[in-house]
Amino acid sequence: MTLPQFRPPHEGDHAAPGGASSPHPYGAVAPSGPAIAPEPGPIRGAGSVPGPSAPAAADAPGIQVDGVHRAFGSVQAVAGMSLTAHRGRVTALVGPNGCGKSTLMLMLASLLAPDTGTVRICGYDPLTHPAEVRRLVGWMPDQFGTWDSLKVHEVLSIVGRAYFMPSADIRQRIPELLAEVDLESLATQPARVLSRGQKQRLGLARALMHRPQVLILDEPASGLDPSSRRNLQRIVRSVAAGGGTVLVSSHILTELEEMADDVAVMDQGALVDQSSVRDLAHRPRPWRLESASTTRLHDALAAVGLQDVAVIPPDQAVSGHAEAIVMARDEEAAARLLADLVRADAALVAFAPSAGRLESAYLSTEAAQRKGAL
Amino acid sequence: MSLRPRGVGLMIDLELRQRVRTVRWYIALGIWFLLLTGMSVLIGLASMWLGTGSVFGDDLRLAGAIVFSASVLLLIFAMLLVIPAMSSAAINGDRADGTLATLQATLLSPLEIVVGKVLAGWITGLAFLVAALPSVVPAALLAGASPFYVARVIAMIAALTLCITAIGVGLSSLTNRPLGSVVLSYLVVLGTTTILPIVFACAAPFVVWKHEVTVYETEYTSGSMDAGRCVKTQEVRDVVRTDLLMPLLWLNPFVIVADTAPQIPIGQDDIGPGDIDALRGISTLVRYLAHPTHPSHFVECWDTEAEGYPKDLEQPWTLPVWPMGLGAHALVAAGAVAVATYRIKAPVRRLGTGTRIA
Repeated sequence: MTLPQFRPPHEGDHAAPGGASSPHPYGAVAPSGPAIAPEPGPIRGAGSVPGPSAPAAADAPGIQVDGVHRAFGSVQAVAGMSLTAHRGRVTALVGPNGCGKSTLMLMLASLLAPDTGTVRICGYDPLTHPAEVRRLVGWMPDQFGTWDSLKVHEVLSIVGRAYFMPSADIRQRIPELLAEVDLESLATQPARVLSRGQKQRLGLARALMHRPQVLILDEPASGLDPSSRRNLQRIVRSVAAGGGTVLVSSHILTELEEMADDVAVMDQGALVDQSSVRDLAHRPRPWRLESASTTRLHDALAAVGLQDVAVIPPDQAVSGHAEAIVMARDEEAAARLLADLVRADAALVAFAPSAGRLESAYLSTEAAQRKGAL
Repeated sequence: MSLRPRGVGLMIDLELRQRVRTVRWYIALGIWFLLLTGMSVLIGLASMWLGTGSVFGDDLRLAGAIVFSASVLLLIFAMLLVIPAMSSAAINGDRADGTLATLQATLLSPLEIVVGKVLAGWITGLAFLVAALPSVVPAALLAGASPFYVARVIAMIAALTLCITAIGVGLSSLTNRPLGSVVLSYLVVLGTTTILPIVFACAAPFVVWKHEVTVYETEYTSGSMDAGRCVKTQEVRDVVRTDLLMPLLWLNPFVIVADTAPQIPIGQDDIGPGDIDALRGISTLVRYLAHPTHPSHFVECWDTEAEGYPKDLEQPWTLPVWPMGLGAHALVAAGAVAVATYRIKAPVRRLGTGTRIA
């Protein structure tokens, strides 16, 4: 889909980020355009990593992946993936189904060895220091069992013991975590009675049991109700606030946007885009305009140079207003567009992004353009 | 590869908790108890009916011996049915349930996980063994069997249970689906209990060798068949070298357990009704088969008091077979533990076809 370009009469053409030629400062960037070159931010690919025998450094990134490949038979699940996730930050890992996210997370959890390339967790290589890595990592897989006949508090006790935590610490930690994930009332119930969402919460508590410095969450929000999703965000943010490194994958991009500091987009086993969520404000994304009048909106758009923008009449729009969607290069451009449209008497009743920053960034990648990508 | 008691204890705790919390576990144990006890009672009644019908003295001892040995054989058979079913889904079942990876991602070592699963399976097997004791011990008491004999038999079944559990756990790490490993386990059981003895019997004609042996025969005197003396001659005879085939029987659990029984005191005059039972019979037969060239096999003088009767030939049954059998089982079990440990070692470099980590 290519949206019409907005050409305000009072500004000249600007080059679009990422090299795409844009004749207008408001944007006029096709959503299907190529990924934009990464801006400086906390997530960096192909960073240098310590040597195989390098000890863990206190200032080493929580997660550092360099040139990792992993194949299963003829299927290349991860192909040259490089990524750095820093301490104290939440990194969202997004990408289409089968792009290698879960495989990458298995390698980070020291369960799967890369064919080539290196993985470091707080400076430790899982191949040579698996115990150190496991002590540091809390992992929540996308699909997991819960020892159904065990009671909820017993599941956490087993996990605590499996990390060789002191008994007193386990006893103290279990009620804390159950309160944190709101499972206190189900503590003495067998895990088999839990709903899917409750099992997800138990899985999160399980991953947090040994107070990991690096938290790896694979689709943690699936099956969670809105309240639990809010709680998940709070927990994830608190782990990062405590200096932890969080890598979280999800297809619910709006929620990721609320909890993540950085985003890494994977496709076909490799990193294709990376940025901080804050910097995504400087990326193009579509904005929805709603007006009380079809004619005034159409005229206003024409006045600011966007005469090619299609205006949907109120009787065909879900909102009951005349609607139009315009691509703006960044939020600053969107602000100028809003001001210009108001000056042009567009009778606007709403002006908002039609997609979140993360969603827009993802949708701008080639991965999102392929059939069945989402 | 660490093997910490705390880690092993945790795995045993985890496995046992899951088992004792399921209703089917208690149902299985109840059926097991009723089945074996019922069979023992049935065999006992049949034994007495076949005898004089007396419930006192020698008849009771004979019936007790029959019931005891038959119950032990039935117990071995039943254990061979139950143990593979309990242990052969230990690894691939957990993998399918999505719980194995959770353990692999912790500080538990693969060896602790495997050993814990083996020991938990063994403890479960021992529970079945204990539940079977009411069908075995009373009969042994009626037969007047030595407590050491009974203890040896039970200890040997317990040891075999451990080995078979370990083999089942090992097989469960080799196949993706629990059904596959259960079938493989039963094939192993079928092989050791049925296939190998058949191979043993069928191979016997191919190991007939001519041997020069010393034969003791009665030379009757004065034309009477009542008196004679024992004379020895050198002869070349066809001898079936069953000793060469004995490894085929070493792995047979029935043979291993039976071989812990005392031998039937052949040649002695004071054989009591409690001295003959199926286990003793198997044990005596196996030890004969293990020493086919033993000089005592060629003594054909039936009167042990006759002149020239060889008194210094000893008997072949002084050398037990069970150490080889148990040793072989222990070796295979240790190998199975090693394989299972290797198969769940993480990070995984090479993943089997169709295998998922999580």
